[in-house]
Amino acid sequence: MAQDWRIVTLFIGSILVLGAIIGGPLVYAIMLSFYSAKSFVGELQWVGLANYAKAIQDPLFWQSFANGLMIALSAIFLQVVLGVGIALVLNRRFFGQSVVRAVSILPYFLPTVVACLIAQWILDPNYGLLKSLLASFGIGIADWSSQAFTARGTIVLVSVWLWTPFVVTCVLAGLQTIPTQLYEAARVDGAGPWRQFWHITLPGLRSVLVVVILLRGIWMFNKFDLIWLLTKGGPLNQTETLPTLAYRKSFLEFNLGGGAAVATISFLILAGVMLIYLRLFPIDDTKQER
Amino acid sequence: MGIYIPGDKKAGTGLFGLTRRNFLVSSAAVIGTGLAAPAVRAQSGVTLRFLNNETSAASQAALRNACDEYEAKTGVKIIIDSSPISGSMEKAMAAINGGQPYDLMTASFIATVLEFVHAGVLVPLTDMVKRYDWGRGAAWDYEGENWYYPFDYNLVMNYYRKDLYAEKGLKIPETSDQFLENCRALTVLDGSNVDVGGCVVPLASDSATNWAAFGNMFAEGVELFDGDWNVVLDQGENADRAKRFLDLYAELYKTMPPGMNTVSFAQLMSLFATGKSAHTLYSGRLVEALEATNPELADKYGVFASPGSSGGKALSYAFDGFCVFKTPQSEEALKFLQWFVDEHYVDWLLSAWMNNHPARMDIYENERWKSHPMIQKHWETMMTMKSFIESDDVVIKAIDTSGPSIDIRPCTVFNANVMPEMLQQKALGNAPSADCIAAAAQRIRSLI
Repeated sequence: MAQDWRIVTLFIGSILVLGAIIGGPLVYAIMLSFYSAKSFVGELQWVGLANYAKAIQDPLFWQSFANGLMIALSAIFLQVVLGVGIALVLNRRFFGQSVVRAVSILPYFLPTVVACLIAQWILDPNYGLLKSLLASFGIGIADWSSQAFTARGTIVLVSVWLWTPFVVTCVLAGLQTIPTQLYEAARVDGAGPWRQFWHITLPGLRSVLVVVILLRGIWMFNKFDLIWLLTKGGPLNQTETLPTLAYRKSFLEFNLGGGAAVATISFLILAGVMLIYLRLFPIDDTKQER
Repeated sequence: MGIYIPGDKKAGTGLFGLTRRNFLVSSAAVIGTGLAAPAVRAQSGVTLRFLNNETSAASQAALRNACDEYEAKTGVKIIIDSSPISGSMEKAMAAINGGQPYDLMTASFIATVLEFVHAGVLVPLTDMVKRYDWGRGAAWDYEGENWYYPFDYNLVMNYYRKDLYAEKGLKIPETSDQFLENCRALTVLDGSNVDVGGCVVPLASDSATNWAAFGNMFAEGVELFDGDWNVVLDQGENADRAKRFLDLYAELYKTMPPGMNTVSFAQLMSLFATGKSAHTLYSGRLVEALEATNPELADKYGVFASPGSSGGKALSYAFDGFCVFKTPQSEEALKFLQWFVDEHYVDWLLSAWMNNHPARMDIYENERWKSHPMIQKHWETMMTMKSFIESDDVVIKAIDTSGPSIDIRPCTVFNANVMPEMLQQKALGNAPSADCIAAAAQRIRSLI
């Protein structure tokens, strides 16, 4: 009975702490979106849904939504494809397997700001390592930050570099739960590597991949630090996403209500998409089978 | 050490023989002491908090020394938080909202100061400022009060390489066309890429671009507002002037090294200091950077004001100064600031000897300031900088001080990066100048 009390106390304590550090700011941000606030320390004025109306009438909002979607989908696709591929290789026995596995996860330990600085040093069009390397072959380097395609591509590449190890780790763990007898039986039945992958590995990884894609989707769509550090939403708003737009409105234009409205809409869109996703791809295998 | 067995009350001695009761009582005591510590410390004396955005080692040391001396003299402790300029306003606002406002701050843009004034969080410094003569525009007031104590101008000058000018037989440009020709003459191409730029002018959506990129525009006579705060950027003769500026920028852009879209304050200096650009735009800080990183080049540079198409000259600027916040300790903060500007102002200026281009005119006669070896060495440049603030032939203007008087409206334009985005539309989007100007004017109207 005493232990029950401890569990209840810890549970209630956790809920209260989570409510304070997650629920509180969330409710405050949603509340702010109904107010006009010209600065962080000015008076709030109730404006109802005006900030929402303004946000969805702003072409930049929809451009930011599209940019965010494009960057997130490209990054997730590459992270998952590369992550599964690398995990398949690391799942095989070879000399130095443990060392290679440990090294492969290293980029995930890098703080985003460090990764972005390294990327900028490599890609700097005036002093960068890539420029020096290409120059030795007589090849010039384009200014990646001044064109939409290369700026977006850089964001995607850096995110793939940073977060593919997360996918590798999850998939590697998933691979080790697939019974080896299934592969042995398939080989006896004459199945080649491709058919083994398609009919055993992929179904075996289903739950892992559903969770990985869900998490990477949420994280990439909400990604702020990497984009802000690399491009600040430029050139010409071509890498502006909803999180950077919300930041720009709140912290550069001091339009706190407008920024909060953008952030709230972004939250609702993400929540809606995730609900649909989980409906289509339930994490619980038994639900999928029904 | 006893072993803990659930339900066994006799075995209640846990780790290191500590009972649960003792553990809870000790924890409460520790937490209580921690919570009470600030109050105890407050009773022992006043503690002021100073947000400093002059982050060079010399400036931080000068401030620290002064604060230590003040504490030894008065018992008032001053905690200094040093934070780069780019995030200091957000930091100050977060501190106010968090219930722990700073007492003092160094502020760098009028846009920043006016945001604070509008929020009603600053203490006026009028009496302190009025005691001295100030250079043009430095002692600006708003609603009849001075809100900060300036210490420099941060004039954005065009730096050029004297050796390269001599080599190519170039003269200091009197018009924007001549400037463009000089930039073209000094550009070194590597295939189709610019290897050494004729000039660098920032293009990112940030304060560096707002600060540095619009000297030529002001020299052209472009106004954002008329006397009644109507937006006139896209109106009549003003639109033609703005178009001339944008057309000039588009041509200059072709002579710039790559990366202008992400160029920072530091890169504006480093591109010149490393020979990657023949011109750059910066304040006196660049001279300090040259002395520190490329002393040879420190003997080969010159400065001039940004020219317009018909020979007008202009410089953009951004004063730096001290602000005092409204807090329960404002009186103590004012006393400290008064002491600091009486006793340590010159030390502070000399901590960034060329960047802290004096806004207080008596400093130019101060023997200690004048005799600093680096100021002596670069005396000609310092006097040129002084002539800029004394001569009515040179327009001194900034995006955040546009319009008929100091006002929050141009500050909003500054903070929203409207003008940098106008440049981007032209240089990166290749849009017609008239469209860029119309879009910027429309944005300004929607913002104010």
